[in-house]
Amino acid sequence: MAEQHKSEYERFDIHQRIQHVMMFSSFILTTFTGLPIKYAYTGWGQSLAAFWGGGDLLLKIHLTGATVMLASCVYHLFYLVAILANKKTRSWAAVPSPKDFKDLGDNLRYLLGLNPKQAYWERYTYKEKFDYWAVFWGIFMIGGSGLMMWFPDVATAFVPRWFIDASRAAHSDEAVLAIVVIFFWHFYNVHFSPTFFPMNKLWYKGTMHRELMLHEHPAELDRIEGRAAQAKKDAGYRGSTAAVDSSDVIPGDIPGEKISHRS
Amino acid sequence: MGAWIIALLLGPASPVLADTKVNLDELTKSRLAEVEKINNGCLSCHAKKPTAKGRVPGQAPFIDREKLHTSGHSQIACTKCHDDVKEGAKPSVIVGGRELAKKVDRTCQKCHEDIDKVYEKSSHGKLLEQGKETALCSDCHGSHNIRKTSDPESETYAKNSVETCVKCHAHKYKETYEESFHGRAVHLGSVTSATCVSCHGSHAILGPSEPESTVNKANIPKTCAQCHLKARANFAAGTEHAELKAQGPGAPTYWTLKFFTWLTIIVFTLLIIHIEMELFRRYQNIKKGKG
Repeated sequence: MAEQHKSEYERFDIHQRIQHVMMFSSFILTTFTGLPIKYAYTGWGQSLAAFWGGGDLLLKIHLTGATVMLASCVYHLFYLVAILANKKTRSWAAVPSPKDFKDLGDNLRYLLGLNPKQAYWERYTYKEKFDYWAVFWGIFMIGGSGLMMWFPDVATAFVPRWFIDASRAAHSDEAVLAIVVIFFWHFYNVHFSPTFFPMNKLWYKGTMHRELMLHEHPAELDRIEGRAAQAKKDAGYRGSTAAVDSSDVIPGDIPGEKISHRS
Repeated sequence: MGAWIIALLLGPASPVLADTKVNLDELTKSRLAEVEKINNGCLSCHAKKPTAKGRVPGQAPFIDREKLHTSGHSQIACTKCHDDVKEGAKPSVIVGGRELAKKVDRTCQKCHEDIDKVYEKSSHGKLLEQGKETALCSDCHGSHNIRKTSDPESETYAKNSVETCVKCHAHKYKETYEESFHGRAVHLGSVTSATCVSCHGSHAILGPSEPESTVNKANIPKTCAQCHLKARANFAAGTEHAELKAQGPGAPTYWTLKFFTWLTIIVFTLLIIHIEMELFRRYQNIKKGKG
C-alpha cells in the first residue's frame, strides 16, 4: 500500500440528509392519505380513510404532510442557492450531461452482456439524476396543483376555473406516477437490490465506503484520488485504476443510493 | 358557606319546586302513556314482519318498531301524521303509495309550519301545487325512520343526502359530483364538504333559471362564499358538473388524465425493464461463478 486513502467518502451532507428525511416522511404520509381520496369509491380506499379518521381529518393530515414536503422543497432551494453562490462548494455535477447518454448506452450493453464492464460512473449516475430531476419536476406539478386546490379562491384570481379542475387530475395522476417510481424503482435501487438490502445506510450516515465507491462511482474516486489523468490516457478504460482485486467488487452491482442535492 | 351548600343540596326538595316537577313529570308521563297506547294499538298489526315472499293477503303494511322508536318522532302518536285513520278503519279506506305520501305530507306542517312556507315557493313545492310528481317531505326525510340531519343514520345526513337526491336526479349530476373533490370528501365521511344541498339549497330549492336560485349565475359567487374565503366572480365562473369528455368544459381535465395515464404507463414499463435487465445481469454473473 503505497498511499493511504480515506475509507469513507461524504455524499450527503447534513442538510441533504434532513431534506431527504423531510421528503420521504411527508411522501409516505401524503401517499397513504392521498390514495383514499383518489380511490374513494373502493372498499380499501374507504377503510384506509377510516383509519385516518375519515373525510375531514384525513384531509388535515394530508395537508400537514404537504406542508412538510413544501418546506423541504423551500429548504432545498435555499440550500441550492447557498451551494451555488459559494465558489468552494459550487458544483454542476447533478445537471444532466452528454456523458449520461454514453453511460446509459454502456450500461445497457453491459446488462445485456455485450460489454465486459459497466459504465465509468461519475459522482452521479444517470439513474440518480433521473431520481433527482423527477422529484424536482414532481414537486412543482404536485405542489403547484396542490396549492391551487388548497386555495382555489386565491388561485382563480390568476387562472381560470378549468385550469384548477385539470390540475386536480394532474395532482393525483402525477402522484400515482411518483408512488410507482418510488415504491418500485427507488425501493429496488436502495432497498431490494442485493447490494444494499435491507437498505443503503447512506441516508443517515451520509457517507459511502471506499470499496463501494470503487464500484459505484469509479470516475469520481479516480478524480478525488488523483488518477484522473492516467484514466484519461487509457482509451478503452472501464472501471477504476485503483489496485483492487476484482473479486472485491460484486459484478452486476448497481449504484442506487440517494445522492446529494436531493430534496 | 356551609349553610349555603346545604341549602343548595336541599334545594330541589323545597316544597314548591318539587310540586312543579312532579306535575311536569306526571303530564309528560300521561301524554307518553297515551301515545304509547295508540302506537301499540297500531303496531299490534303493523309490526308483524312479512315473509320473504311478501305480505300475505290481509296483512297490514310492515312498520319497523325498532326504527320507529329510535326516530326523532318516537314520542309522537301514529295518528298525528296519519290523521285520517280511525280506530278499526277498514283497509280499503286507507290509501297507500304516493297518495298516502301526499296526504301525510300535508300533516307535516301541523308542527313544521315555518318549513312549509319555504317549501311552497320552491320548485318542488310549485310542482306539487300543479299536481305533478315531485319530492315530498318523506322523499328526502324518510317516514318512520325520520332523524335529525346531524344523525349519521339520517337520510339527510351529509353522506346519505347525496343518495337521497340522486334517487330522482341521477343524470350526469351524480357521476360528476362523485368525481368532484366535494363528492369524494363527503363520501369518505366529511361533514364540512359540500353536498347537493350546500349549493342548491334544500327546502327553498329552485332551478338555475330562477333569479332567486342559489345556483343562478348571478348568485353563484355568493353561494361559493358560504364556505370559500372570497366570492370571486372568476372562482364561480367555471362549469360545475363538467363531464370528462374529449370535448366540452371537461376537456382539459380529460386530456390531462390521458396524458398522465400514458406517461405513467410508459415510465413504469421502462423502469421495470431496466430493473429486470439488472436482475438478469446479476443472475448471469452468479451462474458464471463471479457472484
